[in-house]
Amino acid sequence: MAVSLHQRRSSPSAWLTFKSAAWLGWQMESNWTEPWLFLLYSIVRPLAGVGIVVFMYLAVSTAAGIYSPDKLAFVFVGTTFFMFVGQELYGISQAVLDDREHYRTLKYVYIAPSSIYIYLFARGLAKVAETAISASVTLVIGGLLLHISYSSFNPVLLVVALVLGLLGIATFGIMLAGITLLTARHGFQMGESVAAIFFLLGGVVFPIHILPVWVQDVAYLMPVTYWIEAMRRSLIGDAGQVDSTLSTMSTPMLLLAIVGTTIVFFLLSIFVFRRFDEAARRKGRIDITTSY
Amino acid sequence: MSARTVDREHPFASFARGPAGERLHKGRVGTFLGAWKARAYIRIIGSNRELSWIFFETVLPLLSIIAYLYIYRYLGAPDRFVSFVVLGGAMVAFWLSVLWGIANHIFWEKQSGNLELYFVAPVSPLALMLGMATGSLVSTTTRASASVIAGVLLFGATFNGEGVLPSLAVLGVTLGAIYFLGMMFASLFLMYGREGEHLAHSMQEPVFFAAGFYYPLNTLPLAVQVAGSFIPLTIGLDAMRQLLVPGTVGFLPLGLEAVILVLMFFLFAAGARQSVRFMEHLAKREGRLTLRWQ
Repeated sequence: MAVSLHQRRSSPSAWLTFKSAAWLGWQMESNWTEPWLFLLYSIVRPLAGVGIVVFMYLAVSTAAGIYSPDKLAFVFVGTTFFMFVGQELYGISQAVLDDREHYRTLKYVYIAPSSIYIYLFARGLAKVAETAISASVTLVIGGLLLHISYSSFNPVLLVVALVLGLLGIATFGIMLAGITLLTARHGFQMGESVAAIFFLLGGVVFPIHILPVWVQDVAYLMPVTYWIEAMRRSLIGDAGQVDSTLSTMSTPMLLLAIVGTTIVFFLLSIFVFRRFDEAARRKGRIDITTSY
Repeated sequence: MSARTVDREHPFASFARGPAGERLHKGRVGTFLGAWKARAYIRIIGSNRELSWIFFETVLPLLSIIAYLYIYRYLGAPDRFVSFVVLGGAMVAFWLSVLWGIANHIFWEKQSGNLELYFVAPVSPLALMLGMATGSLVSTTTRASASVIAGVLLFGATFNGEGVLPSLAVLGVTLGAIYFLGMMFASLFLMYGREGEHLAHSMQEPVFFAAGFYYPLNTLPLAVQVAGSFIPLTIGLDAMRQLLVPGTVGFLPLGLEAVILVLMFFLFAAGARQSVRFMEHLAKREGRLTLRWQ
């Protein structure tokens, strides 16, 4: 069968780009050591992160004699799922730095006939896969050692909210990746730093109503706020949640809020990434290496 | 002609010369100090030239500290916990600087091709490492100070005024010890390549956890307290809290912690010297440390 010039030059499907980039990301994340060490690495670090918040609770319990299992569950589940936020943001934005500075392949990715947007999104998914392992182990440990009760476990809500939320977080990752195109190598902490904004505003470890009112308004604009609430609801119901706005929202409304905010930020991410991408091309930053 | 104008015919004409016009050579100590100063200068200027870095390293870490303060507010913690978090949060900046600015940085230098220049330059690699540490220390102190000032002004963190000077002395010894520890890690990270980078990642949260950055150390199980105390930051932070936050029950008596910190300082200084020599040996004799993309 004759193949036209147009067909031969056409871009690979989005799925092929996605699949290849996700596999590449996973290999880069996991093949630096033996599988058992990778597993240990994937578990210890996030577990310590959750441990910090748990021991903060225990410190207060000891010092002030305040024991509230609901608050512990609220803090524990929020921190556990928040791992996804930091890791996905880091994974997507770090892909730019890895490819540009370490492997020096970003320029080849750019000239390849595939979508850089899909490529970066898929690269970030490797971190999500790694985090899924750590979050699962952490939740099991929480149930066994801290006696967190997952009495409201709703697997459908868990999966649906998880997928929607990850898409929403990815839009921020893409924006960060765009900014990273213009920053020096030490911008590697940017993902973690921006995650701190969500950690503070997203109702992750304390109900939003504690924040100043004007900050609460900002919090309700972010998909992470609704996502964390949905994830929490899928496991522990409304335990520890005292925020009147979130606790009175029905679950379908919560999912709708995630979808709505995700669409808004998806469009914004395309705009932001394009602007930074154009600037990076114009300034010759695609194959730059930086030092200090 | 202005002092900054370069004579293209004689680019080195502005260099200091001896009485007979000969090139001046510094002695061993002078060269060591000159290399130290030069590397520190690059680090300070370089880190402050990248404005995005200043923002992400100064403003955004404050958000984490604020989040931890709000957790305590949600849990109904006593006021002194605010001071705990503010002090711990400031120390986070130093630990990240040690991990990424010192320990893992040599690996980066290898990737960018600078490491071979370090080893062929007629200066001690230890001087370069010390310069890097000094530069980092200056930059990070600015960022850590911002955290403390914000904690005091925005969240009313209070500290015991009498303890400020002794705690600064403790801080000085602690920082010296952790930066020397960072130099020891540098050779380790360099040998392990990509594994070293992941090792640096795995030494973030676990150290924040075991060193009691956000809560009193004695909240942790004894085994974790003992394990954490091998890191100078744990002992240093505990000592500073005893000095600055009234009512703090320390992990060890203050005097003993001071002695341990001084011992750690000298131990890690000796360890850093040895590890840099080892690194130089591997680079020059075996030539494998300057290979990129390992």
